Amino acid sequence: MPKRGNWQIGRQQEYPYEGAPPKRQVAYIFDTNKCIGCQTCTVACKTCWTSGKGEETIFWNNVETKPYGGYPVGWDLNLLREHPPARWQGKQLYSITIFENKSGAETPPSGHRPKSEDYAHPNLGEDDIAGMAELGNHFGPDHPMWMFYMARICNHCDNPACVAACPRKAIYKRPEDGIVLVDQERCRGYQECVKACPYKKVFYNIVSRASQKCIGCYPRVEQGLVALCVESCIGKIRMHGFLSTQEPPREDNPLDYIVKFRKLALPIYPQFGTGPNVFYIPPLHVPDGFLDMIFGPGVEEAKKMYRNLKNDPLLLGALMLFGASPQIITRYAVEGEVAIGWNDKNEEVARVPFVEPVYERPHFDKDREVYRHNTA
Amino acid sequence: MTRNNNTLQIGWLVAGIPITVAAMLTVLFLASRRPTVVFVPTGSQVEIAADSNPNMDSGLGIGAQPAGPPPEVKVVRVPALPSSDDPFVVDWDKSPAVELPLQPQQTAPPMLDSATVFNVRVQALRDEKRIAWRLSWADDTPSSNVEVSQFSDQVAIQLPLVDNAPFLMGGKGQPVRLMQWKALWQKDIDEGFQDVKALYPNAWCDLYWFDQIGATKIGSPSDSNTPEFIAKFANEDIARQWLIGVSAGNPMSEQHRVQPVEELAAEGFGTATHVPTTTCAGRGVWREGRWTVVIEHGLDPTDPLTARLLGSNVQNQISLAVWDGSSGNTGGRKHWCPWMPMKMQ
Repeated sequence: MPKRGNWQIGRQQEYPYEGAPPKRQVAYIFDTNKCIGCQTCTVACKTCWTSGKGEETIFWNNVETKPYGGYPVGWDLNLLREHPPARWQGKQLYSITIFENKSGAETPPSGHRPKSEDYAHPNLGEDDIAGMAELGNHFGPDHPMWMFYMARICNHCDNPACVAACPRKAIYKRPEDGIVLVDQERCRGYQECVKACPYKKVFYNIVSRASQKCIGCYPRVEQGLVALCVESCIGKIRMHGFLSTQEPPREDNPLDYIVKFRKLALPIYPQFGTGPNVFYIPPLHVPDGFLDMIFGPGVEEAKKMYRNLKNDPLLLGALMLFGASPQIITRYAVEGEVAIGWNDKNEEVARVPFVEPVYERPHFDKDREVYRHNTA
Repeated sequence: MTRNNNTLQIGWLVAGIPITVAAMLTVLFLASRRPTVVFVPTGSQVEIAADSNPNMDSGLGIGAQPAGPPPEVKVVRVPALPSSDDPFVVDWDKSPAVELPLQPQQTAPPMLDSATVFNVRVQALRDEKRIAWRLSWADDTPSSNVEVSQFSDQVAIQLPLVDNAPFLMGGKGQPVRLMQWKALWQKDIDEGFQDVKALYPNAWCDLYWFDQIGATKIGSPSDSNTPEFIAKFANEDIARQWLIGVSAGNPMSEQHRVQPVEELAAEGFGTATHVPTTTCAGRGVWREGRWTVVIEHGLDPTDPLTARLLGSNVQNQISLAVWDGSSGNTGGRKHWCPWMPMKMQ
């Protein structure tokens, strides 16, 4: 099997296909600290893309509550159980990826098949905390119990397991932006991709009898617009853009800066070796041990960096641009205490002050001769 | 005479211990043995086949190959081919049945780990205009619906278009033709399109967008939760917008299937391509633990497959694949047999 480099695991790994990386790679950053689990992203995606017949239990975008939630149920736990545990030496993975698992009778990539009922409970475990809170806990300053919302979409991986598994080559990664798509004409519904995807983000449609997955809102991306799940996010937890692939990363590209230069946002389960392109800013209040399992090495540094944001204007500026424009920001700068974002055509599309201006309105409005008060 | 009850009971106990131990050891020994599968061919048709090839061993397991020449499929010429609507018509008795051994596909990934179907019984008939095969195999668990991680039973016939085409899906420049029957498609035809309601009778969706828009644009109030909805509106643009496979023209997504058989052309693994205009037809029925499927194809001299089948000095060959849906067979995870000789009458 050919080998290719995977920067997320700090080494070469096996992958069935050779090929240059795309011209640039679509990527997302989700700030878990800001997500309130409102599911607006889920609804935006579902309403637009998967409201047809056979798509009743298909959610290209879902928000699950960790530690107990998961859609499909146990997507991560089942793989973690079947796959050897991740072993890191610093930033290098020395355990095997799903493409290197040759212990069983199966040809890699290794994976498991979810059952139909696993898709029937997208809200299982929602809002549940990791353990029971003790009486009186709410009086104290710290809450020892934790949970966090993890929004999940297709990771449009560098080394997609779905592409590797499809015997018909009906799944492909677009050379222009790295979006991974299922050819709806060629797919014959073998469901090998459903089995292989570690994130379980390829779905089988029982009416069209073919597999479907998140299309990265490519008709919008082609017009320079962010994905619907990104635009609709009321908490502005998401940023959608591109990572540099064929050229070295640029400091003025907010995605490159946050992911590659600062490593504030981390990939989800990098040990599987697919090179996922949704990066998460880890939740500050969740124990490192749990986060290490999901995001690999670098959680502690990322948390430290996030806590120090107010002294880090360039990084703070990049984060201010989350949800600041429906257009994809490909370049940004910080001028004084203002973050500015430009689109691909070099048009300014966002200008966000670090501190929102404060307007004071006097108690008495002289023009209208009325008192203002905040009761109706 | 007095009986010493205590002595008697101790005597039974003493005799019972070695008997119990021996019985347990026997059970342990038997349980630790690998199960041995023995096939006992029954019925007159198989005997005919066995007569035609005395070396044929219909009890073949995985990897075992018959000694001597492989069994030959004889295409018997009849004045009029029976309709494929009933796979059990007596006309089929005119064709000798041959049991072809199957093995799990373990040449190209994704592979089938272990076999659950070991033989397929083949008969073939032809008349002037058509050729038909009757295929039958044992399957205790018929699967004719699909869902995530659930698969349909299937069978496929493969025929080469050129000499020396590789028997696994052909090769580059060495095309093969395939005719594939699926239990799911048979159910679509017998009972109507297998919609969400067929799998989940109590499922209910509050709102399908196309239902609302369809009701206003098409001017007909509809209930998209009923299976009839698909049949009624699948060709309307407004509904196709939410049936992506249908609007892309994916043959898997066909909502108005007329035949449970699809013709495919292939030149190697992963290249199977739908043949849009086909003379294929067929019908499959599951009865008493067996699928019996008739697949037929028109004999049109302009068709490359017919030209090959009827060509002079051609050694015709046939290969088969069977999928056991309940064992997770799908795509390349199938049972197959290599080229077997086929004689046209």
